[in-house]
Amino acid sequence: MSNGLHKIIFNMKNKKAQDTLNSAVIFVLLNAAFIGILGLAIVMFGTGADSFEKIYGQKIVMVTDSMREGSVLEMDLKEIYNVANKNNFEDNILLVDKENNNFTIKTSSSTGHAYYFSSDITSSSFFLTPQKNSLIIKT
Amino acid sequence: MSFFKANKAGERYISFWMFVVWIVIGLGMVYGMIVLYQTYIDTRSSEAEIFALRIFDCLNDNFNYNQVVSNNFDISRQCGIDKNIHNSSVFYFNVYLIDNAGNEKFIAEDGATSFKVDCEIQLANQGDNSLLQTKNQQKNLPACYLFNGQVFDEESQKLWRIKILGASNQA
Repeated sequence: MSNGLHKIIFNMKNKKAQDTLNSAVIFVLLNAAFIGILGLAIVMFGTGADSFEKIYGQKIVMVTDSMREGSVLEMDLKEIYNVANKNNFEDNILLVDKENNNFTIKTSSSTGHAYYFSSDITSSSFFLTPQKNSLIIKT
Repeated sequence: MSFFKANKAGERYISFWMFVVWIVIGLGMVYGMIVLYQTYIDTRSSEAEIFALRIFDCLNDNFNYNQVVSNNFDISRQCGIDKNIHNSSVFYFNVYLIDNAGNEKFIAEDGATSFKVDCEIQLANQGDNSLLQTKNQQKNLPACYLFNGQVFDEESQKLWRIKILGASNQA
């Protein structure tokens, strides 16, 4: 085999190896980006803040509306407090507006749901007890 | 695009089908998120039922016909109903008393009055009079609960039939 032909064959092999290396690097980078995006999406949406707010908001409305005058009830809000802690949300998770007869439930700065009571809550009381992770409702 | 050409050295790493798999997984994730975040927890039927039964409980306690039909009777104050209910466009109720001859006497109504027609149509369309609660709820229509009961007036020793419609459209 002549020296020139040997050189050509060597260059072709080298080119093939270079292609393999480039595509392997691109493959790893694309995979890393894809897994990163998936991870970010799971972290962003994974807390389920929105669903928890809906579930607990509607529970509070129905419980309060079905309570008779003079009743006291304690509701466990551990899950909601956990979600708020995960979201580093330190404001009040429950804001009761007696003037408009509604309340807002919030477990992160970007979410929040407002619900109306059909019963008059002017004379009712709502106490949040963060130590016990619960809500006390007095009607 | 040279990645997709056959017989290239890098094809065993990057291929058309790899991108297809990524796209399918990505779309699956997006679909899952959308389904999760659009979860519609519909408690309106229960709210309508609680509302109607609350009014019945209140009227049934020491029912007095003369008091209920008087102009001074304030059902919201008497039954602890939200005084701003007519502004909220979330709830509606009406109350009728029915005598032995079947004559209806209007007692009270408040809230989003357009719900009355929505409820009547829905309840009529169900075609089954035993069902007093709307089912297969559409998001844009209120959920309704029609309660039929009886109240006894001790003063006149008379039994009245009472019909209470409660409606809620709280999303």
